[in-house]
Amino acid sequence: MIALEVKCEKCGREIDVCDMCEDPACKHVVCHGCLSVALDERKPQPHEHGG
Amino acid sequence: MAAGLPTEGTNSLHPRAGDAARKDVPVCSLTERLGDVRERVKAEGWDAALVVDGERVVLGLLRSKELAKDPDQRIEQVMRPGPSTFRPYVSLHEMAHFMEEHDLESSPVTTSDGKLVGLLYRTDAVRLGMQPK
Repeated sequence: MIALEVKCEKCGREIDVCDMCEDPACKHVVCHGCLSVALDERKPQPHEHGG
Repeated sequence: MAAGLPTEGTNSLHPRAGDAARKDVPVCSLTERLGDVRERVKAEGWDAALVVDGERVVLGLLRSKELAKDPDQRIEQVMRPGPSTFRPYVSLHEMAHFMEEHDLESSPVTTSDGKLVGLLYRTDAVRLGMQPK
């Protein structure tokens, strides 16, 4: 499978595929981090390294 | 909450993914023949099944598309490996919103160590999670 680079709709991070639906043609791409925050699984981090 | 056990207190009144996930979803193993699994899944009135290991850790997902493939293939050849899974404590309202936005018919719900809790259908998520307060 060819990995298509897409951007998270919320943070703009480049990811291989939408973390919610894994559909390469997804129109509302969301990364794992943003999805976790949206679903209240974790709190947003001030920096990527979490510090 | 992460293990999908019952909760108490005022916050427990908000429906969670684990509450609505169907616990009796059919399961199968990697080495089974697709034709056998498909027959079993249809006989039980389902259109999806989860692929699990001996400890019920989710390894893959079979939706209608995968179930329709060559019946002589083994499950590991046709399944969607490593599907996105969601925790039982996730808000049903948020899940309903995301499942609608992403046109997902169903999503597996697992504990934080990957063990199957059930399969959440969008219809259930919308019905229970979008109720007026």
